[in-house]
Amino acid sequence: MRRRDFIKVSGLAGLAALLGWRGWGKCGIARIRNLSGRGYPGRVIPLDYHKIANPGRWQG
Amino acid sequence: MGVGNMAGNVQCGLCPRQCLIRPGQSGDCRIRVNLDGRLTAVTYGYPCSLHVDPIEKKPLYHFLPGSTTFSLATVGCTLHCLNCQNWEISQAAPDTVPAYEVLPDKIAALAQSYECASVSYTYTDPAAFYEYALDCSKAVREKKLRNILVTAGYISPRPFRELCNNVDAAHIDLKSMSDKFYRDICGGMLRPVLDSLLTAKSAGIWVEIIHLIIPTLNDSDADLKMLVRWVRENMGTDTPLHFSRFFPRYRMRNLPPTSEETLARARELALAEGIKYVYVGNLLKPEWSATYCPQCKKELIARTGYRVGVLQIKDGKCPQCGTQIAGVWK
Repeated sequence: MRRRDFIKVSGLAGLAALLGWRGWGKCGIARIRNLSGRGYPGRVIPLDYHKIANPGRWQG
Repeated sequence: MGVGNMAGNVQCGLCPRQCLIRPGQSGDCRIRVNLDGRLTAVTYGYPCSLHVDPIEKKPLYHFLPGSTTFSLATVGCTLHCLNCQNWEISQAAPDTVPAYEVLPDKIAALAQSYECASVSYTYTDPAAFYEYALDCSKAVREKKLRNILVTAGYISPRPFRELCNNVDAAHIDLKSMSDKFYRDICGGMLRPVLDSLLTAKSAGIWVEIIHLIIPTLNDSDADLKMLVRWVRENMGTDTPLHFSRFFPRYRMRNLPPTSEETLARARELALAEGIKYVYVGNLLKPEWSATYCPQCKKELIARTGYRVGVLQIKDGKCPQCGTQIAGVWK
């Protein structure tokens, strides 16, 4: 898990990660929350049409 | 497409979810809304993505290779895959995403003006923007262009059959042969997807299948064998099978990209089971995206990324041994 994602998962873990602590990421709490789809703090970002439909991106 | 009741609720019949929608509310796809007791597709005529793509990006490898396709999508989807690569539009509400106003006739005219051979309903799922895709496909046919569905196939059989009657090719995503996978990862069910594959085949349109291999979730030998055997027995060995590489996206950033070894294993397994045309996508490996004659093994179509290099099929046949190569070539 990248640090940016790790920071998103929870305030406390995020703060700890900023200070260089990676323990929860390794023990999997953040990972489980992310996989289950619950507790994901991401938000819908403004759309960039060309980013979505760029021919250089993945199939689909 | 839906039925109402005394309380003003409307049941949508488009996808297997059969959402019962209260007045003013939307179904699970977010874009089919009960407005005053009438089911309304609120993204009709409002695509959020319009782009000219190479047809190899869909990916369709046996349908007009080397041509461009006018691709469009509205927001919304009938599934909610945790690994969705277009989640910014597929999982968004329609009022949160800017959109163009383009009616079906204009779509057909735009495709023609950009010299595209076809129009693709892609990026999100045409199953969600069904009415718009259906009307566009009719307008596009009037201009003598082809229609392509890029879909996960999570739609009820009757509307899908009607859509198939108006399109020329479908690229259908078979995500797993496990119902549990569909329930846990996609928020759907397996059976309707298999039914859609069979419906597309029986409708006589050109079908290619894609399977995204996600590490630890659907990459075991047993999973792959089950999928390949189902394809062989129900769709035939002429149906191209694409294995696609997973990249961490949306709510599934904890898993690594699919390894090259896994993709090689899947490819070998499918070839060993008798599938004639097996491809690996999202990986720059020209030898795995080329089309070979199943008889003499001559390389017939060379591809690099989404670009077609040498195209050696003559009248749908291998120029060396004369074997018929399944597909739509002109």
